[in-house]
Amino acid sequence: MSGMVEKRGIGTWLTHGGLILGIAVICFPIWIAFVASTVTQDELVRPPMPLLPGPHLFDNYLEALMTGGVAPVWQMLVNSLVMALGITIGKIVISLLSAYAIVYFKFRFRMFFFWLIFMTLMLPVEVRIVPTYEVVANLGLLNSYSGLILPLIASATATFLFRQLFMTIPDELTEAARVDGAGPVRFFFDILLPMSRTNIAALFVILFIYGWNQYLWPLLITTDPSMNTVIMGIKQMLPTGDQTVEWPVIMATAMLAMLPPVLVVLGMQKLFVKGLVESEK
Amino acid sequence: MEKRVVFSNRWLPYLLVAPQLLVTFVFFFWPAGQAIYQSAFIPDPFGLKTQFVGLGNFEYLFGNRYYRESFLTTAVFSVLVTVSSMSFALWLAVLADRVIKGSSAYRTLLIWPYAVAPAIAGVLWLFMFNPFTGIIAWMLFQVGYVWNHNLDGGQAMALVVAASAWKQISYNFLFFLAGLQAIPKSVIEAAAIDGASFWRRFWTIIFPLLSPTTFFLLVVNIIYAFFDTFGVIHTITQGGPQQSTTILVYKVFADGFVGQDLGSSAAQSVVLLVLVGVLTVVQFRFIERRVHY
Amino acid sequence: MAEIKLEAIRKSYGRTEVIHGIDAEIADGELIVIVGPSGCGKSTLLRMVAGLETITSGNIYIGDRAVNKLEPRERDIAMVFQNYALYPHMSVFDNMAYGLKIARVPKSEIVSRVNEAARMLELEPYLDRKPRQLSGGQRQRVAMGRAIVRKPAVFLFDEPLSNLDAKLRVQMRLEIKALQRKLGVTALYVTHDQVEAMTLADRMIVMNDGVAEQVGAPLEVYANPATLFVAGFIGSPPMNVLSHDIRPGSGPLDPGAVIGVRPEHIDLVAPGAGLIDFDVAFCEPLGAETLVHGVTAAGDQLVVRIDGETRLPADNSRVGLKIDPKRIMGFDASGRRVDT
Repeated sequence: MSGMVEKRGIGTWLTHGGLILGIAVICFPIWIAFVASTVTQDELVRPPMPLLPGPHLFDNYLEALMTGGVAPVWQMLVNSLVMALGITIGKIVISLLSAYAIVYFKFRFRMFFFWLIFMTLMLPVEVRIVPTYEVVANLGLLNSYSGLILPLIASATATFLFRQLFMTIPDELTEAARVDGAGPVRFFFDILLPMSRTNIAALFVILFIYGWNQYLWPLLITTDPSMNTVIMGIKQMLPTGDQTVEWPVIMATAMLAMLPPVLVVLGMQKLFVKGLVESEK
Repeated sequence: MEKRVVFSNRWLPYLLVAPQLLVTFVFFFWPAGQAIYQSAFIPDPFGLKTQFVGLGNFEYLFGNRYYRESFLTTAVFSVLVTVSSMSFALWLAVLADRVIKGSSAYRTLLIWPYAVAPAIAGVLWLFMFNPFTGIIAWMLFQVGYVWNHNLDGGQAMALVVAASAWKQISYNFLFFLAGLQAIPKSVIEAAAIDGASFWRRFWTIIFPLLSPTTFFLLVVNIIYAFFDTFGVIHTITQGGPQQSTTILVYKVFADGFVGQDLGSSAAQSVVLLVLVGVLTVVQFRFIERRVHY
Repeated sequence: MAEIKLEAIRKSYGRTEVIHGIDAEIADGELIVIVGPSGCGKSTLLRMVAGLETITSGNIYIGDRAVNKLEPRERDIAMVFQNYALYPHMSVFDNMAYGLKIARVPKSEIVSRVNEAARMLELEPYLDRKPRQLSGGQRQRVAMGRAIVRKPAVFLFDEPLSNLDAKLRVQMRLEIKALQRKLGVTALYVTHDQVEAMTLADRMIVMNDGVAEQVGAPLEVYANPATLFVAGFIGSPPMNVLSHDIRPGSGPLDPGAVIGVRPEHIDLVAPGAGLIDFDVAFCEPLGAETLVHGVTAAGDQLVVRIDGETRLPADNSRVGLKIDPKRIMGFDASGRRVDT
């Protein structure tokens, strides 16, 4: 509750009106996609398309899941899930470990290692696609989950985040643990991990969305349809040239493809905002 | 900043950093080194041998009209995406900041598009603007405007900008809203008592105090427009028509995978690498300064 | 210059009423302090005068204008905030000049007014600095300066000294009073500190729980509190409250009624020689005075203030309390003063 300046009468209505308008603009593409996924192809190819949902939701989604494009969508969803979880868990684990080493141990090359990790900030996968592809091909990882996951799990951002967090944990706590007889491994599992719980959860939300939404990398290294992820699989279904395509099925696939990350954002809104603000600083 | 208390162990720290270092070496430094190395060679026509050309690939690259145009396209694209997405998000954040009742409901409805993948955003917008069946293309036709982004480069650019900016609004909105809420209410009240109208308060008090957030978002949005929008371009236009939407990242992909011109693609990767480096340095310099006005 | 009139002011947030009808008239050039514990509604009342909160019902007049519907900028007021609310991105000069620039005051006059205020507040060396480069006391002065240059009809102060350390607070208190006298501007000043209220106010409004318990000059309020709350809130240490009447010839008090007597109106005498006997628990020597804590024979807790040079009574000793019965005040069960 706080006193506001100039917040009465018409101003309040204009504010709400503006927000509703903004939300309408932002939600319109999704609404259209949803409507398109519930009608028949005939209704879509003869404009204007309907603006209210039709009765074919079940048929379209079933067809997408079972038949889909080059591969059934359920299979692509499974691939996406494996990749998203692999990237998320992989990034969190290796970042936690390396941040722990860098903050809590003194050893040769500590700062050198730190800077090596730091430099990867400057190398998003889009920048180094061709040579990375060659490396992955040479390692025989094309069309494999390892090939999908491993090149994306080194993350300077997550390492930084944990380093920052560990720095704020008071030295007295470490001293107390040592007096109580805890070694480095015990300290990590009994003190550090429980104290990082919410940060790990927040990062999990952000990284899951990041992993799920990967596009370019799976596009390059999965030539076998059974390894396609849903985000890239949808592109395979789009028209190339004059061929006609089943728009309702494509739109059903699009809805299925955005459902998991959207649910994660809505269900864990607090963690999501926390993760976003912290990981981008 | 150093911890006062550190554990000492001969091998444990190396074991702990090993996984991340391994991944970093194999998938970051090795490919980056490859890119730099390859950028100095051209393969012979049969792909059997390569020939050292020094900076020849770069010379060729910057002498190439299409590459220079791609630079310009990227600049136009990034500026349009950044400006349109940030201004729309700022407008929404200012409104949401003024709402007392129901602000969390508005926030919820505005943040979830963040979760939509750029490639999906591309598909959604492509569907709405499909020249033959798209609902918005149809509406435009009703008012006498013919939409065909497959033929009109300007329309193609407008469409990829709209789809890319749309996807980024949630992100910008969240940061702007947090920035606005961090401005002490009493400062704004003091300005009201000093006689400033709402718009005057916005431009002389709120906007300057928001500048750290704005600058941060500027860098993030440019990086986003440079790299993360690949999915949007690839689904909607594939860089066309006539290269009018071929941004640098798309060109690396097109030349390297579609055109199989590895030397040129590697040289382009190196150029991008330098660009990211500059942007990252700018971002970090700014983080050091962000506490001050 | 203007008088302020508050007529049956009420404020509700949703269904909760936080201010229950306040009336007050403030004369031109008067410094009125609104004092009360935190959460009593004093800041809300001030913010309604400023136009930062809407008025649920009642009327506020500044001069002869009803200002209920006016924006803050149309009310001819200036306000000093608790956290100063300086514009962090502007220099001291620009902070003070901002309101004048908006009012389209000619540039030369802006410069001369700001310089004059800066001279008065000894801020001249700091005009080019940003707020973050100033000490707390200097920031406080800039906030004052920003109010002064506008030459408003009314000054509003919202706990302006509570972020300063104790020593600076006393100094700034005197400066504010001197400045307000010199400029002759009507001022409303909100504080939770009763000492600040006593020393600054021409008259004060003692608020509790959304109600004005008493309005009056500080010494008058002190000598003649209208309610038990005012009696307890104004004065340190607070008035002693006894549930047994000790006045000669009095019977038992009505249920819930009490009597009050200020610690300095009690003298220690030999046991049996006063109105009632008193068992000393312990003494608090403060230098100029000593506070003697203990329990009366009737079982009431009590504090006596004696001169610092008087010999201290021993702990656990028994003494008599000599009190002029005219100094004893009666309060009924609702806390209202009953004169007997």
